[in-house]
Amino acid sequence: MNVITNNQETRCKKCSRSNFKYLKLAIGHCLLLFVWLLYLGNWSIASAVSGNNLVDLANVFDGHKVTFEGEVIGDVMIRRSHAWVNVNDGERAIGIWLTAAQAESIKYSGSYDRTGDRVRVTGTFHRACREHGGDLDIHADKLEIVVPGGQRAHPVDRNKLALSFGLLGLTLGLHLYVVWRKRLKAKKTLSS
Amino acid sequence: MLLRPTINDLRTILYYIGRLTIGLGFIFLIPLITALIFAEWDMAVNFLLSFSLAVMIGMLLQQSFTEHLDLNWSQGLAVTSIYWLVAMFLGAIPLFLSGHYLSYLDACFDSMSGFATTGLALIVNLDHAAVSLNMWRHLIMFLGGQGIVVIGLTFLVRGTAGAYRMYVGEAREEKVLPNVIQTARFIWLISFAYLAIGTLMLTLIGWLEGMPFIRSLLHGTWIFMAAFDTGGFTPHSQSILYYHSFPYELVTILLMVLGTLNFSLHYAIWNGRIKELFKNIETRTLFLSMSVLFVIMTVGLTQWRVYPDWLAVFRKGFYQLISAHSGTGYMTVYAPQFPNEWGVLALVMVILAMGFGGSACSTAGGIKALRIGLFFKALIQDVRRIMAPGSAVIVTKFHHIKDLILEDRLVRSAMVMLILYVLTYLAGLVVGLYYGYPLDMAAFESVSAAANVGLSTGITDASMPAGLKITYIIQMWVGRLEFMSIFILFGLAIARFTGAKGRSK
Repeated sequence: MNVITNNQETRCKKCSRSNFKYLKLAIGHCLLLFVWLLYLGNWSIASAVSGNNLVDLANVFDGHKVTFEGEVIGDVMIRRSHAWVNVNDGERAIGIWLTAAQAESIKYSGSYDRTGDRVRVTGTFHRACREHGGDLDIHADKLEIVVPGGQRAHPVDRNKLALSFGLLGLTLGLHLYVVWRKRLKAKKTLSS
Repeated sequence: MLLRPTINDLRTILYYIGRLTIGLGFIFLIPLITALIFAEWDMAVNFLLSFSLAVMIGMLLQQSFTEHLDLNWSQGLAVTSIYWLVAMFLGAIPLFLSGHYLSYLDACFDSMSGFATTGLALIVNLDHAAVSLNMWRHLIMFLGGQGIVVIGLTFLVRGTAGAYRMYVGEAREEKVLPNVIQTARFIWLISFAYLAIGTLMLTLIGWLEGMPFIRSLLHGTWIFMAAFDTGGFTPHSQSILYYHSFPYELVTILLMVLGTLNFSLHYAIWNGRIKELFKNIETRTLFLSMSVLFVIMTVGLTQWRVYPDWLAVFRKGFYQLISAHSGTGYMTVYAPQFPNEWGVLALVMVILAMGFGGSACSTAGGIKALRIGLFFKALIQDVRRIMAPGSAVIVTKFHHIKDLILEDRLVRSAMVMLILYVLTYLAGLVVGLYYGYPLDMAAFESVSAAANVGLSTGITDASMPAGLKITYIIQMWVGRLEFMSIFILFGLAIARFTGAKGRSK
């Protein structure tokens, strides 16, 4: 019994020691995380936030680090050492202010005949940016290309093509008929 | 007593609709050529189909009803109201075929929004739209702003009394020049002159702000078309926010203000009468209204600490206010920011600005500054009348191109229109509330649609109920044509069954 008790006591001591060790580890991690957060000066959101969430909850995200992922659309507008790009996540397009060097990595921007590069932007979100006249934007710290863009094909629908030319033919036929009738009338008037 | 419309009335109406439809058909050639230049073959097919269909329908109508009379008042106004619907249905064809719309109703919505220079849009994936599609979207806005009947008057219809009746049907009561055809041509002259200057300015700014030259030229042209014609369509989903450019915003403010001025005022300035700008009741009313609304809006925005500094208040608050007052609908904020961040006071100021609208005989919608000005003049006159001795004769004058005396006839006409607009705003509000939207958002969207503005709180979306889409289409149609031609159309329909036999003059 004693042995068992001793063993139990020994196990319990070990357990409490090991539990204490895990607790210390957890506190240590928390402290590290806290210090990291302090270093960033902000709350960081690891997973990407949607465009709709950014706009709808702009007050919540204002001034915080966010990650936004989407397709670069339109133009990469270089403004001296920086650039503006607009990134659309399928719900909403958001303006991204980044350095010209970061912008250089963008090869494709979305348009009628192109799918833009899919990028992941990590940066500071502003509900009403003081630097940019109150724009809702993200100042990028980091930009990575997730999926490179490419060309978009727009094949012509053969049925639509046939219908178009059919209608054009009918219209031209109708026009010729009208012209012919007018001439015939004019001739009749002249002869009478 | 209503006179029953005869088969000859119908023939005449259909003949003119046919003639105008041919005109619309030929306009499809502009985006068709654009599609060919930019090698957008599928879009070229869509425009070829639309062109052929419109010209064929127009020719069939014209050839079927060759025996026609000159238009009387009711026929002229009926032609205009019906033709706007025909234009909506035909204009929606290439939009729907582009694959950017979830239904033909959505395409009709955008088509009417374009022609009526509203700017509310249901297009999806706009950021991948073809150049030719954007050309068409902005072109219909430009044509709608000038008046699609004005186009017909310029190129297709000879200067008859009937031409003037169609012109009036398109909410253009004032003749800038003695002849209606000359007036229509002057409207085109002035628009093309501004088109050249405005496009050049926007192209240069776009280019300097980092856009490739061809794209900045295209964007400059489109943004001009939609700004000067107080439309509001843009080639990208973020509206003017896409450009992130203060100079671009300043030029669009200038164009929106120019677009909201009366063409008669443009004519006066064109002829060196700059003083007219300061004396005219419309410009005075517009200036006063914009100033008062902006001050109150600024109080609202400051109270809620919406923007960090004065520049931001100008670029967001003032820009949205000018956009609302001119009836353009360009935005430098996201739609949900209005209800989420602006606060009720600032939001109500935008609603009032939209409701008041721009000048009469301009491309702007809404009640119009002239009517608001007359209303307040009449109010002051009545107060003075009560305060003055019984035998005193109170005469009020106002200046609108020339000095005029405020007559009861003018006040009555202004009041009727004011009430009709308010009732239309309320009708849209009630439908919005029925579909479960909050009061502020429903009011905002309804006024925006009926006053042909195009600002949105986010209700206007491809996923909104079909009933609301139809309501807004009707509001845009009614608001753009300013009621009378549509009432005449319904009057003719009723008279077909209840009216007496005879021919109206």
